[in-house]
Amino acid sequence: MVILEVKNVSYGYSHGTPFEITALDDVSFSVEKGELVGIIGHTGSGKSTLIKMLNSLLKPESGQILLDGKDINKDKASIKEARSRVGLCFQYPEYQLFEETCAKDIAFGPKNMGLSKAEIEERVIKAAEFVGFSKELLNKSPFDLSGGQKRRCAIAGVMAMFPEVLILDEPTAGLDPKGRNELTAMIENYRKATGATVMIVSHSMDDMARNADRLLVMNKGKLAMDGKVQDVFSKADKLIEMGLSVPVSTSLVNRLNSKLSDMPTDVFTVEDAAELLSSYYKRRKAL
Amino acid sequence: MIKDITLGQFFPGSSFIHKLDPRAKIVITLCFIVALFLCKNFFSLGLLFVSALVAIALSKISFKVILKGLKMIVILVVFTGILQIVYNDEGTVLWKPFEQFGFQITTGGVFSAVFIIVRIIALILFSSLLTYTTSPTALADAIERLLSPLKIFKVNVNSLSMMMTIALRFIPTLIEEIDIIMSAQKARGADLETGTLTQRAKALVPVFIPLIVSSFRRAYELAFAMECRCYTGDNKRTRMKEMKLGIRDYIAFGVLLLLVAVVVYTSFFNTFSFFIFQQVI
Amino acid sequence: MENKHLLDFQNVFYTYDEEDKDSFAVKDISFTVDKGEYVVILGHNGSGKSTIAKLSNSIFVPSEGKVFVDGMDTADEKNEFKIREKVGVVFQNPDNQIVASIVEEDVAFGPENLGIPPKTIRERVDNALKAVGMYDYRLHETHRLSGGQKQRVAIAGMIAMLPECIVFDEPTAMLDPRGRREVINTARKLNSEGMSIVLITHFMEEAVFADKVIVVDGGRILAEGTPREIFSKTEMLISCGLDVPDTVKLSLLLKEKGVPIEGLPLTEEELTEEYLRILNL
Repeated sequence: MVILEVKNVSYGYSHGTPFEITALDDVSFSVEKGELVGIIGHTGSGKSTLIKMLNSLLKPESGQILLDGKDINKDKASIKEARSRVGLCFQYPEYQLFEETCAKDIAFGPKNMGLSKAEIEERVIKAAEFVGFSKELLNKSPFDLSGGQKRRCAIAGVMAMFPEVLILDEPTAGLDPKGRNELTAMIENYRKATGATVMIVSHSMDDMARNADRLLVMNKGKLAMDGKVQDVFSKADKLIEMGLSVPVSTSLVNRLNSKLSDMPTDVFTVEDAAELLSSYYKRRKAL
Repeated sequence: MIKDITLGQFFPGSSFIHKLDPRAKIVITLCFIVALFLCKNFFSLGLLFVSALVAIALSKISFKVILKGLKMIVILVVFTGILQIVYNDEGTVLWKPFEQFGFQITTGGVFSAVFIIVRIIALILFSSLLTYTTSPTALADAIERLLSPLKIFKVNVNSLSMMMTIALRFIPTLIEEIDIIMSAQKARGADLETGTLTQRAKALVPVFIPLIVSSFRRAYELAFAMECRCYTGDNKRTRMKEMKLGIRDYIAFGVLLLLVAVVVYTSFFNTFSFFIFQQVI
Repeated sequence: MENKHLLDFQNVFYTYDEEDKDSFAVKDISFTVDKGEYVVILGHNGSGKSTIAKLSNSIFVPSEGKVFVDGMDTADEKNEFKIREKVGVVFQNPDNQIVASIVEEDVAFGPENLGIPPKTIRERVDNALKAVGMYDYRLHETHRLSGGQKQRVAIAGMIAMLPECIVFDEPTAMLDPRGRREVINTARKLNSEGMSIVLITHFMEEAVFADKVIVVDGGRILAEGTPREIFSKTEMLISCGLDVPDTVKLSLLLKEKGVPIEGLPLTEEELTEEYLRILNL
């Protein structure tokens, strides 16, 4: 079932100045309920503008965004509805924390939705669970936490709104490998528990290969590719042309294939590549 | 979008105006503003307005950009214009739309409205030209030099100009940051646009606290970075760009003096009113 | 002081809290960096690795132990400026280390603080901008640059002070892959021209080109060795919140599966070559 539909959306910045940019140019796609969609594209490709559109922080200059078939920019009520049903977590969300305690900060979203006190409390506890926050941490000031904890607190603040579509812009930016893995697991927790659709903007092709079902590739304001992970990464040349890269395993196998030419190239994770290379080696040696 | 603001922006270039000594530019701009307020008739006002246009043409900055900067003050211009028309009763009556309220439009009102509007526009044109053609650092350095006599009174002019440089440098960064924080809080359902004044002021708390926290973090990090580059705050700094008054600057001063002389003469010693049009004030 | 190292940490302890001497951010750290060496310091967030950057040019002074730069004690205040000229630091956040609004004016900031004559500053600024490939952007506004470009401007700001060593404190943490490549390639290029580089990071791939890798955990040095030695200790790296590059992971998995790979290929090129070699191609 389609939950979110983007129809022929265009948008530009700074019209009439030397710095004019067309950020989005006739972009169309739809997202199924429960999907995990990755959005890739280098800085300035329009992906930040795109995600801001999805909960009406920016309004398309032309085109429409439909949530459950209804235009999210129709009126004030539909904008408000979109803001609570589509959760948007920006890059470095920890810089937006402001409350005295983490619990209060996480409650900010649910409070704005006009929920009852009991309901807010329940949601704060649930959201804290998703990100592995203890009671003790909830009562601390967000400014006393470590960098990684702040990030988790901020993401919990978006999760507490129980959005049906959760969009995260570079959620793992600046984290070390352990922090990156933990955060990916937390997002998966949320998805499993709520059945929500998740869209992640990321620069890490390897993370995308591991986690996403489907990839949207943005380039110069256009949706350049839209397809299953394997379909997108099999077009390595096209991605590289856009200044993007492919997972290490893919590029390695492509490199080998230019010499060997009889190696399957639909490999995206380290594990798959190891499997492929070892069985290929054994086959060659058996000959 | 707040990012669209062009006022106070610098457009690098190598025109006659760009190459003027920033100190000269500041002094000329100040004198020009004084002349604008001294001038009392359309002839000298027109002269000043045309010279502002000539200066813009010399700077090679596109008129589109200039017009965009003017857009910001449209409301101010219209408002002052209306005030003049409403409150000035001199001259002959042109129209009495609401006679019962004693409201009338007079030639004096129209003249003074046009006069003030042209004056404001000339003022904005000329002074924005200063920031369009001078880099913030050069501007700060020039102010430092111009204020250097204040050192006698133990004013730390060096720190003053460093503060200005940094402030100007961080304005775009902070504007961008406000934009991001506002978007982020709006995404969490914050309502920043409706409600009573107190409600709206309260709604800004989630924007200002993160902004202040992050500004302190920036200041802290910037201080380290500046220390790493041997900044101490004493007066031993040298500058890459030396300021030297050149022929260009003397020409500019000369033109300015001529303008001021004409303005003062026609406004205060108005003996031959040959092409001195309407005396307004 | 024979056999002077460029950078010499001798049993260094550092605490941010002078009251609580047990809360050391850095504990008993000793290592050296020689002329022309490329050293990478790996550690997870909060491992104390960033404190090392500030200890290396006298921004912080050790609570216990000594840091020497080219034989000069960083605790001795009269060495402060000589040390900061020799060892430059590039920080994580590109926005918070740029002082001026225009690229070339920012690069000039350091030399200006040193009190160098204008002509020499101009030369140094131009050379520094050329060295990082940003000369064509010298008149651009700093806030409009991409993250990678801003970091290169910050690097140029250091180069203009003619250092012998540049310490990079997580310079790529806030950048996209393109920016990361730009910065790492710049660091490698400078190193190939003789500059000592200390790169503090948590991106494993960036350690592959190092002469020496130091792993830091809990403020202590956990391991020190060549990239090959360090990356063969996968478990140790994972246990301290780190990882190995994907290529290394793949090499290790292949070995596990009985593919007779020799040594430990670190890069795609090396692994491709090795794989083709064992296939007898």
